[in-house]
Amino acid sequence: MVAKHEQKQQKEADKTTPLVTQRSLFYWAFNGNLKPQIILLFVIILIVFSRVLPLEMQKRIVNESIALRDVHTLILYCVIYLIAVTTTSLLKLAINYLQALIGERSMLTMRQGLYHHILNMPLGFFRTTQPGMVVSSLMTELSAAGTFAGQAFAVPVTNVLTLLAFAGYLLSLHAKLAMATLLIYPVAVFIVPLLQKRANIANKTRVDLSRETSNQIAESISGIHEVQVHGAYGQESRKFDILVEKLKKTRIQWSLYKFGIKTTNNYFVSLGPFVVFIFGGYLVMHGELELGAMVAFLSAQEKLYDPWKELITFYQTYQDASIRYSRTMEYFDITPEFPMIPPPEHSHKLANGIEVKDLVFETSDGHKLLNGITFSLTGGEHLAIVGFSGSGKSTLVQCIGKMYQYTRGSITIGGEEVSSLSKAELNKNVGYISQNPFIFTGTIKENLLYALKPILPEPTTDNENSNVNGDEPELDRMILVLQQAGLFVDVMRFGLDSFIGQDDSKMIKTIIRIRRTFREDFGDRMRDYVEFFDKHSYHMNSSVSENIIFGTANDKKFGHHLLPENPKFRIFLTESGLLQPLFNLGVELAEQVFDILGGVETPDIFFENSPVPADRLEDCKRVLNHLKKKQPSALVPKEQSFLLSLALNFTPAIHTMTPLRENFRAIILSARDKFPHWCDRTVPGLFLFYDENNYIHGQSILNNIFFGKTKSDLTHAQEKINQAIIHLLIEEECMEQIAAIGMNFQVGSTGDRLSGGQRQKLAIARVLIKQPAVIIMDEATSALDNKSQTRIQRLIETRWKQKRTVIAVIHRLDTISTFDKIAVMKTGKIVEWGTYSELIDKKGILHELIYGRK
Amino acid sequence: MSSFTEENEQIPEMQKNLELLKGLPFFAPFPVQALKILALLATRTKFMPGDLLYEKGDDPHRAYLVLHGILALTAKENNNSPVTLRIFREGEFLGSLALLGRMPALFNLTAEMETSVLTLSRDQFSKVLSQFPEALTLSLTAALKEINRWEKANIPEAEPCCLARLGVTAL
Repeated sequence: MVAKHEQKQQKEADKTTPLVTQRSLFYWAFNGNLKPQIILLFVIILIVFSRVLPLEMQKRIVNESIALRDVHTLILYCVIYLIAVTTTSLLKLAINYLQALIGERSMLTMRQGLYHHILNMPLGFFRTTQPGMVVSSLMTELSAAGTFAGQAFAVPVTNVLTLLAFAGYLLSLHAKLAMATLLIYPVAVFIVPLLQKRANIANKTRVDLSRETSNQIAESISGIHEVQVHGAYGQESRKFDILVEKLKKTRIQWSLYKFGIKTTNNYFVSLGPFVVFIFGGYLVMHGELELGAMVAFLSAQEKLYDPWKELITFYQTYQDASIRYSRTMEYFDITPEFPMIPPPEHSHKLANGIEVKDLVFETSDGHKLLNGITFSLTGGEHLAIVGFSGSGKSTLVQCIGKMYQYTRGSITIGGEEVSSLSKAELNKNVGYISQNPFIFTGTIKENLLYALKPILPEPTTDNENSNVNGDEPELDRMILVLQQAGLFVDVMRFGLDSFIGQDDSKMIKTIIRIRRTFREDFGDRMRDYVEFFDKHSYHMNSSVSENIIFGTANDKKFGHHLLPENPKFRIFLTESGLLQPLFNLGVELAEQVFDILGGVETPDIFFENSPVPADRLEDCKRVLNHLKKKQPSALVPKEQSFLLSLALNFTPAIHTMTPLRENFRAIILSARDKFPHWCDRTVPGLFLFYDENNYIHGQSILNNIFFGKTKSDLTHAQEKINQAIIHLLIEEECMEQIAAIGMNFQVGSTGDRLSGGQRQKLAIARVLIKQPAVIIMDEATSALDNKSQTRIQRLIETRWKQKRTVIAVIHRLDTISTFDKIAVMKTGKIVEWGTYSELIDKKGILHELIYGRK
Repeated sequence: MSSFTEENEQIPEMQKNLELLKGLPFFAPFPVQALKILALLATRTKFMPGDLLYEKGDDPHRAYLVLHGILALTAKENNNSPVTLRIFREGEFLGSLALLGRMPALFNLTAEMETSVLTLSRDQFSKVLSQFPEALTLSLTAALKEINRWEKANIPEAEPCCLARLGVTAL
């Protein structure tokens, strides 16, 4: 269904049809909805007939059955009446369903079309557009247009036909009286649009103001760091207040006009019965009208009101929807700069020589960011662009990468003009690594393949059994690319920090084997960085409850965070004399934490080092107050559990505000000895105790290899651990499996679980895997540490020389000596060009940039 | 003898850290509440001989107080063997400027022998500053004082040729 839809879109695009933003609102109602619309028309004709029928029956019941006392016809007419009314209701339901169907379908195509269009819009547009505005346009403003599209045909046709049918029927009953009552409607038709015009003006202002307000909100929220750091709450609130105040006024005005229309309309319509009574009554008295006809007239009046009211509402919906629709579409009505879909026969691998001639890039206000740039690179040459900020370095590489359309001059890659290449062709041949790369929510692997996917041949979806990842690169190649970008060790760590399924017995066996080798080969050397599990010693990096249990529970009710409330565990604590020492420890921790963090405004930023969770500092205060008068054992159960939770969570290596006392250590160790026996008696089989020969579920792969925990998360310790483990994994031929697990690591929303360096390395890797002929780097290594930067430098130098053309904007000048050519830029021009040694010998601007002004 | 170790064990690590921080001119003027949090956040760790703490070009982003052992600041130009500029021994503190902001290191820092340190990262320090804004001024003053003291101490020792290299305090 979706694939079909895409094909259709593609066909449309090929025929150079107008942009989605230039479609009329009615286009969406009918395009692709012709069949439901025709069915709708048929149902409407039926409903009009079934609506008029009861009127005729009414007349006949009064005039024929009642007047002539004919029970037989009375029953017949009543049955017909009943059938007509029932049919009307059912048909009404059918109309509503069809309307909703058409409405949702048009909204779907409208949203898809517009979203696709927005993704292709020129980058310049997004510099001034807040994401929130796009969200509200797509989700809110367009939904009104969608609702309208559902009604666009059905409502006017139904109601106009109904009106005409009633009017015709009334005219056939009594022409003069009918004319008199129908006279009301033209008056309303004259007044309502006058009011509507004013409502429209207010509505336009409202749409614009809403957009402005959502832009303002989006800006403040995206800049929340600046707002809070500068304490600019007042300024931001004021900007917002002014806008919402205006919005309120406009909305009130708009509502006033809207309801004005309704009231005016109601008033005119309620004049109908008045005319029937005074004029019809007169006619009946003079024998010019039958009483039955007058009853029919009165009902018809009431029934005329319904379609009329619906027409007016429809008119209002139409006005509102067309304003929202046109305002939204006008906003996005910008033609994409570059054609997206390649003519497939033209798609090929380009040669990698680059020539730039008299290149000019002008902003819309006539400012020349690039002013006559000319240079050429043979395939495989490496160019470093340096210069002052604002000299046009980034603009130049962005023009070569076809992110912006240049104003004059030419750029050719492999002899082909960049402006005439399709974006897809360019994507295949040119890799662009930006300074602040964006990482998408998903796994490492998804991000790694992000730039590769669009240029891979479409996977065939027709065959259900076909492997969706059929065209995915080999694991070896992905690992190689991760190594080149310097992200491999990080990915290994993600893998090692993961958990494996209980049923993965092969992996479990391997890890147990590695555990033994690790202990033999590295045990002594790693003792400073790893705290190995040992049945007879207290673990400073584990919590009190972990120290007691020394195992894992099969039942979630016995999970560490639930233990303080678990009644059975409480019995064990009481029996083994732990309750009082734990209460004492809990009180001590509560006091210490309150002393340290009590006066801090936002204590939650320190929660990592605090045994009290961020949101429970208030509870802490309350419990401490109660303890002034009561013993811990006299507290309410909830507060007792709170104190126990602090104590059971106490981890000496982290919670350094309280020491681990010798006698406490001894009690805990003796409790550890007693615990298995107690379990056998009370909850047999519930706990699986740590054993060097068993895999510990609920602990990471790494901790399983250690049979312990890391002592420190400081860099040097982590590096030593990584070295040892990776070395071992390679020996045990298990590295690829762990890397594959690591590649499934979820990077979090916009990659927030990765460090800045990791994000940048991932961005480099996702371009490397494309193996493009031309690589553009816009300060691509600026967030990397020294080592990683050197690694990339070496990659460029040894692997890419003579093979891939590189254009790199470079900030750190100590890395440029290995490039074939250096371009120094200033105010949109290349002011110096040559090899590194030429330019240094020249003692010009580059010399000055590197060595400073003497 | 045993009572001594017993007593020693009863002092929480954070308390010991607090006393150490109080003794450093950079932290001494801070409000006690801020120092307590810093003492809680600070971590102790050990380096092996030859371990590199940071190298030229890295952002050091940490300050270190040497608890035991020796750290050496070295310069290595091209392929020459490294030259030791300074030695930090037990009780010496380095890296206060690294706490204040990002700055690429100009030298390498390595452990000369097995060395244990108390260390604090810029992230941790900034978190504390965000809660105690007045401490920022205090730390800036302390840093300036230190730079001043350092240059003052160097004036008499500098040869006439090297005097031209001084003057960082006038920047």
